[in-house]
Amino acid sequence: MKNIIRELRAAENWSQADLAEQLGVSRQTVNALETGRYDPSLPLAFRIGRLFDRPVEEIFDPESPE
Amino acid sequence: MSKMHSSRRSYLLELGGSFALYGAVLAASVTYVNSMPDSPLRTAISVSPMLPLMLGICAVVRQFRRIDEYLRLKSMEDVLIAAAVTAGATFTYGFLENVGFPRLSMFTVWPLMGGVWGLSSCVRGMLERQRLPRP
Repeated sequence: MKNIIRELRAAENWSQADLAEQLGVSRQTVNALETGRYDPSLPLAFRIGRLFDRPVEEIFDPESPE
Repeated sequence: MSKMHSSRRSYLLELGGSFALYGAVLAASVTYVNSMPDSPLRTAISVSPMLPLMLGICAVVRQFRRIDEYLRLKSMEDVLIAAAVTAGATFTYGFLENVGFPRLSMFTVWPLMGGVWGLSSCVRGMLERQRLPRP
């Protein structure tokens, strides 16, 4: 799935490490999410949504497999 | 310190401690076993280094439960590949032993599996640096 995590993170001026810290995951995981190599579990997807204050479907686009 | 760094630090401490204990018990065990007559006690002492090694196994399991979902998935894939390659290699060599190839010690199995595990992790790391999809 494509997502806009990188854009959202850039808008907050956070590094991958900053975002990883706030989500309680590793920087590698943030990198894998941003590059579309990994689709998160539902709990992690919701944590991402809550952090950026957006609905999950606005962040992840299931119609565009990567 | 972040949660991930703190979990890695705990893991390294737990694993390092168990390996240090393993080294001490192994040295003592080898010393005593060589000077003992054959007996059940000698057999027990010869396998005694496995007790501290079990602490290491517990440390690995604890760390696996602490890491996040993506790292857990990666680790599982690496271990699966390593186990599959090791199964193939050991079975192949087992058949070769039946036709006269030299018998190898069971001690060769883990270095083989560990090596494949390391290689698989390295290849994945290289692919990730190039931002290629997972194989």
